[in-house]
Amino acid sequence: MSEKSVNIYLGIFSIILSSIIYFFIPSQVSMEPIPGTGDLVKITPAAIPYICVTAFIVIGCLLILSSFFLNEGTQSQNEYSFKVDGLIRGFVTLLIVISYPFLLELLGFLLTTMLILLVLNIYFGTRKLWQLALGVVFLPIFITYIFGELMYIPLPTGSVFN
Amino acid sequence: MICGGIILGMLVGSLPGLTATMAIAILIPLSFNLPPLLGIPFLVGIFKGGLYGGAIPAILISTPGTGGAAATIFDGYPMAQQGKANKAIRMSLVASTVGDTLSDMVLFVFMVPLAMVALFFGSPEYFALFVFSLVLIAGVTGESVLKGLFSAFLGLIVSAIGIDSVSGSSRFIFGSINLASGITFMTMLIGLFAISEILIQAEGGLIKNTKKNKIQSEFGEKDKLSWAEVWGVRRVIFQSSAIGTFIGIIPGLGAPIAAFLAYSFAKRTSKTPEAFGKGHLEGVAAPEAANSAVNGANFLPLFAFGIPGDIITAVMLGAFIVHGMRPGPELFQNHAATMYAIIWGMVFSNFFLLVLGWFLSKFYAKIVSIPKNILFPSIIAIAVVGSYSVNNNLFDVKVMIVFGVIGFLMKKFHVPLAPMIITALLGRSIENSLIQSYIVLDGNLLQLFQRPISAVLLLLAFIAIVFSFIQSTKKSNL
Repeated sequence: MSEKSVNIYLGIFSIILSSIIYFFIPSQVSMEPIPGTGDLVKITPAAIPYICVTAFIVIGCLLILSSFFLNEGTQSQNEYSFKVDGLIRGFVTLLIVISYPFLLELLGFLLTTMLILLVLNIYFGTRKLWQLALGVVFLPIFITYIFGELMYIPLPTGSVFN
Repeated sequence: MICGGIILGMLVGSLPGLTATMAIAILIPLSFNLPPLLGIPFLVGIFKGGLYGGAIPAILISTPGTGGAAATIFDGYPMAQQGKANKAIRMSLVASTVGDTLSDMVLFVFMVPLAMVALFFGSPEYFALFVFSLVLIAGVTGESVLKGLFSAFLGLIVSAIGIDSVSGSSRFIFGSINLASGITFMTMLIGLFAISEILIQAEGGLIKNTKKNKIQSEFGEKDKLSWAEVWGVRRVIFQSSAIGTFIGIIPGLGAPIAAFLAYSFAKRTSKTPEAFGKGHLEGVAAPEAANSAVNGANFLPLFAFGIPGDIITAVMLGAFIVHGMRPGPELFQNHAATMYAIIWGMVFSNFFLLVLGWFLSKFYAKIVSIPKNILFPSIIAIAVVGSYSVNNNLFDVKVMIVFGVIGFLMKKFHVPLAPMIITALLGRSIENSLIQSYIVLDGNLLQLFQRPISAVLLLLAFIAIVFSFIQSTKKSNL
């Protein structure tokens, strides 16, 4: 993907983001003037969000405009690679990581970490038994000891075991 | 604690793909239970160790462990190929230590006078300073001013989430109690750095280190660094330290720029410029002295004004706040003894860095070859427990993952992270200074240009943004 295309996509995203923020401001942000500013130019808690909305629109338009002045030949200098197999790998890794907090609630820290590390190590290609033992068994026990016992941080115990 | 931080920092810095910033972000929760006098030097130790540790893979396998070590490759790697890896690594250690120490001395001498100057700053001046700093950071980090500004405003809108401290009203919490206190800075940081990097590496295939470190077998006594050789490069070390210190004072520039500038300057002023790039000791000393000299000076704007100059000091700002010490002019009034103790700790840490680095370099050289497929799952586990431990809340882990995805997309689109992190941290302060400026100036912000300090800062901000636009336009049309 060329820098030209990236600028266009980023510009469009910026404009969409500003629209989303603008849409949610009336329902999510109070319009009551901040105490002390009511007699002057009224400043409300929505001031910063509206500034951001304006900024995102301006930046988006400038990004799209700037893309028309870019040569396609700049691709070699700013390479943006989006290979499908790579994105799939990243997505699968993300799914595994997303499952982490939900499993923590169910199974607790130690068991969940062992399970997640086992899956990740296998997915990333670890095959030697001693490496798996180190990463899947020793490390979670070590982390549990450091944070749970030495630093007195109550790690999740899991609803299944409560 | 300083030694522990340095050892951890060198470990992280020597691993390509990990950064000192990531290490600090993940390990800040470890420092929660420590008093500020121990916790902050611990984190500073990680910072210093990480910056030096980045030179080890740069020299051994031509892969910088940190951005500041990129210029070290030019002469460090050729030296390693000539069987002088030990000499190159120890030269980088000595240069780093000298540069760091000189920079810490500058910090020690100038931080209080600068803090006194900061007392003349009112809300309008602070608002102008925030604008100037953010424009500078957005303009010089990354390859595009527009992307930098996009990142900055992204951070600003993130900082708006939660209950507004001035009016007491909620913003963008969507009925969630967990969002009422806003986005936890640490979890955002861990997500943006650690999780995003793992996603990047997973996308890239997490290929095991294929470059064999043939130099390891020769890493021994054949290529010792002599005192005469160190004395011979003293001019380069001192001039590079000066360059690094100057760069460190200015927000947004950072270690990589200092390293490359110092390397170029050393080559231009050397008696043997043709030897640069072929394994010249000065070519290792210059970037290493400069990138370490950025350290101490980077803390000047942080301590005096509460404005971080780069990502690492932004993280350190978070650490100070967590330990109950808000950087700014009041820092020295309220915590003078603690601050001087911390600064002396920073100075002494350079001595510990020299000693520990001298004896541990061989060990860290071996660490470079840990396969990423083992390392990165471990980092995920540490990141999860680190973000959980901030508030003992699983919601923070989910937030961390969201920011991991955001960080991944930002890195893929080459949108710099630094502006977002800094505005996320300073957003409430910027808003408060804006509101107070409105009140002080009777609702007329144009009066900012009638006050000398704020007028100069806003003019500099305008010049910086125009200059950055011109530079990025030139780069794009090359």
